[in-house]
Amino acid sequence: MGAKRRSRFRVHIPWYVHITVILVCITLGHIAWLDFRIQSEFKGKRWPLPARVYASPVEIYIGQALTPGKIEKLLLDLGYKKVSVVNRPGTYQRAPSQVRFMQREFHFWDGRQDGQLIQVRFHNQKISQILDLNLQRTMPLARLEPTLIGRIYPDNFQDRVLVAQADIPSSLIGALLAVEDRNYFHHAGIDFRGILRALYSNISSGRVTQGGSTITQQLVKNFFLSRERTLTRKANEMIMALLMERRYGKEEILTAYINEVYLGQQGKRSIHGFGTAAEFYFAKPLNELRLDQIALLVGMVKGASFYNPRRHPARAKQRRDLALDLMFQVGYLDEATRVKAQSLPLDLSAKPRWSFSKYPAFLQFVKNQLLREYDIEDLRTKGLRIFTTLETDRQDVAELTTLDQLKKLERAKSLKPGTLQAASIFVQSSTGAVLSLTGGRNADDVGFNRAMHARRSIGSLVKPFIYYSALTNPQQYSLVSKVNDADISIRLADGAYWQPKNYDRKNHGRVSLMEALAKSYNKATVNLGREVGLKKVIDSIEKTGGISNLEPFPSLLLGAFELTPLQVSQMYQTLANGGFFVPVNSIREVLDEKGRALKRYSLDVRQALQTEAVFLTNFMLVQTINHGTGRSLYNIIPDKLPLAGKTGTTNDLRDSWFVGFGDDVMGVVWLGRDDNQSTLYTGASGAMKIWGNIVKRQNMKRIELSPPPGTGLLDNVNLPFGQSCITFSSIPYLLGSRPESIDTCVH
Amino acid sequence: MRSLIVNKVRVGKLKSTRLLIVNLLFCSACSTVHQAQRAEAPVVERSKTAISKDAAAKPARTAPPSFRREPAPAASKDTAAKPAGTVPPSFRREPAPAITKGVAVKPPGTAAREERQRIVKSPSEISGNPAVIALLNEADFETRQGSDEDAVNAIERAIRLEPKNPYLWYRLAVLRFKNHQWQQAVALAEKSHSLSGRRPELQKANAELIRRARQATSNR
Repeated sequence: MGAKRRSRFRVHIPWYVHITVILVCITLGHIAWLDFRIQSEFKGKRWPLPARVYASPVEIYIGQALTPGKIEKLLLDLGYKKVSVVNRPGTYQRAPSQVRFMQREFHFWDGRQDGQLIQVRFHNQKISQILDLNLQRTMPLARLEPTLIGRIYPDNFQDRVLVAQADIPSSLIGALLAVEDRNYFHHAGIDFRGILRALYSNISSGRVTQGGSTITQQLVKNFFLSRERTLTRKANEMIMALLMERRYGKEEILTAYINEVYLGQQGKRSIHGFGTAAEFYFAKPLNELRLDQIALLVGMVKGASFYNPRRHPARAKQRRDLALDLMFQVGYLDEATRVKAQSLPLDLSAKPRWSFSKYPAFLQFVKNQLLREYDIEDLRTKGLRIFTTLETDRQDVAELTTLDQLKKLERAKSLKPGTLQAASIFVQSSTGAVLSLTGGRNADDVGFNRAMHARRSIGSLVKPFIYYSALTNPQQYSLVSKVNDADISIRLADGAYWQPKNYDRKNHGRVSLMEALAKSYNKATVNLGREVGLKKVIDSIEKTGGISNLEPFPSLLLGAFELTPLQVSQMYQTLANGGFFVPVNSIREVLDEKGRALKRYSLDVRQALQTEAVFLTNFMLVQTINHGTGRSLYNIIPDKLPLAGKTGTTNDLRDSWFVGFGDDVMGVVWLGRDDNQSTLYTGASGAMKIWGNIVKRQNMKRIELSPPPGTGLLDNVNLPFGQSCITFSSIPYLLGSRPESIDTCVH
Repeated sequence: MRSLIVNKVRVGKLKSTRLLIVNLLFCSACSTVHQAQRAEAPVVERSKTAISKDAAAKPARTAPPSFRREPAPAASKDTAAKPAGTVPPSFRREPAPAITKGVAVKPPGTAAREERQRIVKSPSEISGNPAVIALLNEADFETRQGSDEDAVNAIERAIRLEPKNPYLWYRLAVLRFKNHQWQQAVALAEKSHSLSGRRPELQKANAELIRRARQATSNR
């Protein structure tokens, strides 16, 4: 009965209308949903951008010791091209005593540096003039753009250098339109004429030569859709392309496309966007590419690995020429330009040696410092630009020399190749800036970073801090005070006796502090340390920063505690810097994607050790190289260049250490084995050799010890030193505690 | 970026004339330094030969001393005139203020005394290195513009080039002081002091800065 009543009001609607209504609703709903996706995802589209890490920019200034060849190398490393007339950024020309180049624009942390035309003249291996040719005036200094040394990738390993709409070369747009989508500026997202033309051309040629997808469709596909080839996907693609065109302007879509498109692969790293591709294939920014190079990249859109110009040069060239033909067909090029462009070689840059970092050990150190202040996700995706302190020429020297010397050392003692390992850190003493860092014999090895993580006994490297502690009490100790190098026996907590020996197994009797440290006598040092007190020694060491909770065992006086080379570098940085602590650091500035500084890493110092006592200690360390355990350094370094240094050797020759410093650079080298067996080398015969050979090729400046206020000098003192009598033209002391009686000698 | 420093320029016409003027000033400053260096050159030579004679007289194989020891004539006369008690004898032979080269050309006596009272030195008196002078000029410019951060940047860049120049550290200390970073001001002034050799005017300035910074800390 109820059914009957209802049927009275019933209007007969055929089933197909029902279906249609439902379908329309579903379709509209679906379109609305697609539209929502486009709006929410595209509008706020932020590609995850890898962080980019830069080396320290090279500063060139008048009077600097630099040759034209060296500048040329720096420019080549930055991807500059040698030309006969410098007329574009990124080009240079070289004459015997002058180099002329046009800089690229670069955003430094302290502002933008425009592309200037610069001419550098040389005289006597030095820069005599720097000229800004546009403004016709001399410049006292110029700064080159820094080398990119690493990237920190997002999880998907997409590498992308964003290109802003204003920076897109018009030839790129011309080429893209000619090759991929001729009616781009006229269609509404789907190009039916294009589809028909593609169909015709494919049928007539018997194979698929042209696709009918518009640039918008391709972008939609890359952005939102899967790679599968189904009709549903195609339908979604078309709808979304239409929607996208309705929502956004042509330029906006084109820019997104140019930054999105996939153009190559290097290991895990995938190359996205034309900006990245320009860098990857030509080592240049996009706006420096030639027409034919742009045509090559555009040709590769169709299949980046199929047309990979490094692997399939002939195929890629054919594709490039086709792209140029198409550009000619649509009237973008004239005949002459086309012919000329097609005659050019591919001119690819060498395949990049690295995808993550050129200097993995250093980058690890940088990341370590960054992770203390930034979230890992931000590092990976926010497009940060990180400016570091690394000096690439020093780093290259350190890497090459380490490997080379290790091979020689192995050969000399018939060790199996690969047995020895080494790590090194060089730091600018006054700023704590790390100039180079190696973590093992093979620089490309991203494994165990010994500079940061290998904890080893430091042996005699501890000694200067014992002598420093003594010298902080000038009433009692001066450089010529005597200490007894005689047998010593210390009862330990477990009842055993500790009886340190000298390396040469001899006793040297009463010796001056200077001799005891320079010759690294163990017994004298332990005696001195006991006089001074363990607590005071530990206090001095801990004040240098980076080390804490040292146990007050007597064996500490001979360095029986473990530190990493990095910690050692911090210890000696404070010494080399006249007692002023500056954290050993690797980052100068971090900028966000827009070039705003996120954090300033200012030069902060702290007085940690007493300047005067440090000065005296450093004077002794100079004597260590002159007359002590470091003498043989002058077999490597010419002209007896005054340097300060200390050798360190641990039991059974397991670790060979050397720390040395010149005027403003301090370097630590550790040599050892991963299995902690004997290296067969002492500090002087092993680590110091590596150190010396690195420094020899780095132009280290002689140490200039400026006596701080409150110090005086004794002139021409003849002092017994080991077996000989040495004349010191000056020995410093603290004012108010001038040594009364000096045990001198006669020649 | 407003800047005098020559390698990052975005110069309009107006700016370029201003730069030209600055550049002219800069060139004259440079030539003063060059003259100063030339004037002083024989002195340096003399001291060098003195050292080598010294070494030749002795049979021992000591390496050349690594002290900076060129005496600055004007200054040493000045101190010699002081009562002997205040300056210990060893002081006189202490390192030459390589940095006061600009002062050395001035006639000794009154000018030098005036000099000591003037703590703030012009860039060309602080350094003989054109790059450092340019950076100091930039720092001055930035300070006048009220952007201390950029001034700090310039001074830090200068310190990287000439890390043992006590005047640069002093300038940095002053900027920190202005910025109310008392602790850093003290530490940097101490650093400057440790490098100050025999430059009483700088030592006095550092001591004053440290005193005021400490006072400010305790007031807070």
